[in-house]
Amino acid sequence: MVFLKRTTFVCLAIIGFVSIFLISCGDPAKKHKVLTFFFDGVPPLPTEGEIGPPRPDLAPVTAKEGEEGATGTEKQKDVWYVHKPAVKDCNSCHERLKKGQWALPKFKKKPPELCYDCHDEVAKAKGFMHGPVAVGECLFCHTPHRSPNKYLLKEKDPELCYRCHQKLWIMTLSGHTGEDLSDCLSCHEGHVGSTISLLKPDWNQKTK
Amino acid sequence: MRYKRKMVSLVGRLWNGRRKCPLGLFILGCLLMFTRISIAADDSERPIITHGPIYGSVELSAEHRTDTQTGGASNRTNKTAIFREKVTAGTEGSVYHPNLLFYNVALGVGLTQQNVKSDENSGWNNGTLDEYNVMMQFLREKNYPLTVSMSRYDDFIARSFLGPMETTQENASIVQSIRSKDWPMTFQYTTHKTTQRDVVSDSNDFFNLDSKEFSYFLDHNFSRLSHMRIEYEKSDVTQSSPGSTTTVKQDEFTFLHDLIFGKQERHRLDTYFSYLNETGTSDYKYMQWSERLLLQHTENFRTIHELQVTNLSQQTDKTEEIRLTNGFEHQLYESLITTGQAYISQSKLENNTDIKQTGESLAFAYQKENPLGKLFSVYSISMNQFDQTGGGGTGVVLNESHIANDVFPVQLNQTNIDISTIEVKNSIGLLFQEGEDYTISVIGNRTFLNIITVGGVTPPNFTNGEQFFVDYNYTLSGDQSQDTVNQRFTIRQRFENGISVYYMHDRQDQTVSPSDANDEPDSFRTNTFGIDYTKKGLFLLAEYAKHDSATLPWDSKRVEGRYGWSISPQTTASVFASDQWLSFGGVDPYDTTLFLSGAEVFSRLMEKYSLSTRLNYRDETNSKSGPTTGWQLRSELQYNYRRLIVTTGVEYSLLSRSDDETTTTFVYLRVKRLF
Repeated sequence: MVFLKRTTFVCLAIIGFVSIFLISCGDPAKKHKVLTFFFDGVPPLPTEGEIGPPRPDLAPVTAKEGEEGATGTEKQKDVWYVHKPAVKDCNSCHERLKKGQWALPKFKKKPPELCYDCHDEVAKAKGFMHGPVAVGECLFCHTPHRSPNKYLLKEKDPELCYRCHQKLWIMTLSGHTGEDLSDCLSCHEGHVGSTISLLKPDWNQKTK
Repeated sequence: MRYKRKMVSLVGRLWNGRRKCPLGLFILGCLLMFTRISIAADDSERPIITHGPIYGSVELSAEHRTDTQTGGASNRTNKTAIFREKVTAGTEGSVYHPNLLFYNVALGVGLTQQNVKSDENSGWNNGTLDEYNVMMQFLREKNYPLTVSMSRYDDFIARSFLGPMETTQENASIVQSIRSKDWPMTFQYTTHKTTQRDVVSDSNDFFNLDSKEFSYFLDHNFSRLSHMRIEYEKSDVTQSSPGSTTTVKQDEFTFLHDLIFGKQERHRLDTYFSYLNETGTSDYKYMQWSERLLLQHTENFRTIHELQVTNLSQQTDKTEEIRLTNGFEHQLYESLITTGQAYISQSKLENNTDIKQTGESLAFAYQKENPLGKLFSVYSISMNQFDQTGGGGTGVVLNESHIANDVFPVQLNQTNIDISTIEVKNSIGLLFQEGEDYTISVIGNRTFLNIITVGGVTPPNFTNGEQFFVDYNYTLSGDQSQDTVNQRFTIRQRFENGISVYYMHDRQDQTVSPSDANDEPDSFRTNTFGIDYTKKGLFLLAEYAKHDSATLPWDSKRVEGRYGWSISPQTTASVFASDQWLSFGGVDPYDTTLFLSGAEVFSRLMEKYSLSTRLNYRDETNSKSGPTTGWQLRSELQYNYRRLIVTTGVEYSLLSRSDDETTTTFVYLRVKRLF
């Protein structure tokens, strides 16, 4: 029994390391093709003439299709998520400047009213509210223009959550073991929930 | 001077007694206002006491509750009517200046009449409603503000098959904050008193809770990246009810420190120390110290190292544990998160029993978009070794967390549990009652709690999905070792049209040596297949699960549907239905079917009217305990125009279990006029 489980454990570790080794070797184009077949979010290959690995901050701003806050038509080419108005119409959020006028762009309204003009589902929702939502601090978690993270989050989940919710304490809660800690938003709502823990209605299914 | 002495003497007398205290302050304030003592401010004079507009309300309410039980051993009926007439008034203002003393005061007086008609008691009872809420803030803009608050609330609550219960809650607190730039701290003293008693029947039915708590909090930032917090709490809580009085005194000290360090401030060290000393009905001491180091090596790779020392002593039992954990987390692009962990733990019990536990775990969480939709998959494996040497002993478990489920028995984690020591409580520490809220069943050396979510008489009652906590003692037999391997595999394909299919495999393989009839290994396999569909407000689910276990095998089939939609901009509606068929095997096999359905409508009929109605139905058949059928209807109509609020509602429930049927009707009308 002990031998069996040790063997299973060692085999899994070997398979993992061999896979990583094989993926890391060989032609960069083939490697990229294999990687994008198995994984999402693989950075694009450097374009001709470009030296070194691609830098996300210099990469062309395209976005995943079908995700909230995303725009563009190319599917799964880049990892940037862009707020639609930031691409199409700056004046939907910022005041229009007169010709020749130079000034820091002003918001038309202050958040959260500005955000609620389009995202009224958050304003209308009833139930227990996440702290930043309750005080209208949308920009505490979201960036207004573009982000490498889904939903234009400032950091990836769960790092963003750890800004306020200490991981040490989260780990003491029931159902928050090591492997469950990687994706807070699979069980918890980010804005409004029907329970004080902002649990999603189907959280119980997801933790099975 | 003589006038001043008289006034001080009057105030002193009024201050004598907690209940009179706010009244004394109120009269003192009125006297000062009427004497028109004023102060010079700049070139003008202003009164020493100022107040804003006086606000308040007049409330009238009438409630009628009827409970009937027929069939079975007893037929009984209980009717309760409660009337309330209450006036409240309040204001806020300041003494000398808002920054010296700012106050907010509200007083309420009222009358109440209760009538009970039951097989045991009949008659009227009159009572009064005395309420106040006083808050005073001294020097609120300074760095050392002081806040004093006092409140009292009275209410009479109609109960199922019991006379109305008079509930009085009194709270008082004093909070001194010191807003030091480097060492901010808070001193707080709070008292709380709850008194509940049956006011109509002569039965000795009461509940009292008296708590006093002192707490102290200190924060300090050694630097921008180094923070410390110290907490100290001392509490004394006494609860009494017929035949039972419990006193719990607690001293709790907590120290927390976090340090962020390294290149780009990516690493973090957390220190946590806690010491709890509880005396009274249950005596125990609990100490925990942990050091947790998080090293963020790259953007996608981090390691976690933790040392935890715990020391628990309860009466004659003592447990010392040292636990060392090392783990890592790695994220590959946006698709694969790998986590791994290894731990070693050494425990020493009072009677020379040594327990060594080691464990390793590895988990892969994978997700990938594909032309059909998105694929999710998780595989985790954990291995735990448990080796006990030395004589047996008593293990103590505190606050073991579980989720209430009204069809599946909840299995407690340890074996050979002394069931007389089991205490089940909710998140705020209120105890559930065995028999009314749960039953205990023992299969082999395993202990299960069967949660009852319908028909409870006194709170707290379980709700399905509620988190609860269990304390118990268990017996550790002689030398023993256990090897446990847990594996879990989940795969789910979510199609773009809203359909999602999934399969889950959960298994545990356990070996126990030496093999003993009292310590059977707990090995099981659970296979779950399911399909669901989500589109706008519609959710449909079909699931089949089979659990193979030597202790309690079962298989389950479940279908579920929910739909919510807006009938009009002012009206929303939702309906749901679920049906589950369960078959339990083992030494005492039984079958259960549970059908639940319900509907809810909320409508803002006109600008001034709103209506909410909820209907729930439950039909359960259990081959051991028989059928249970229940209906519950709640409907409320509210009229809200300017400062007038009229609320009327009806609640009806019917619960039919075996040969016993209980019906409850609750009708109410509440009128509130604000001014």
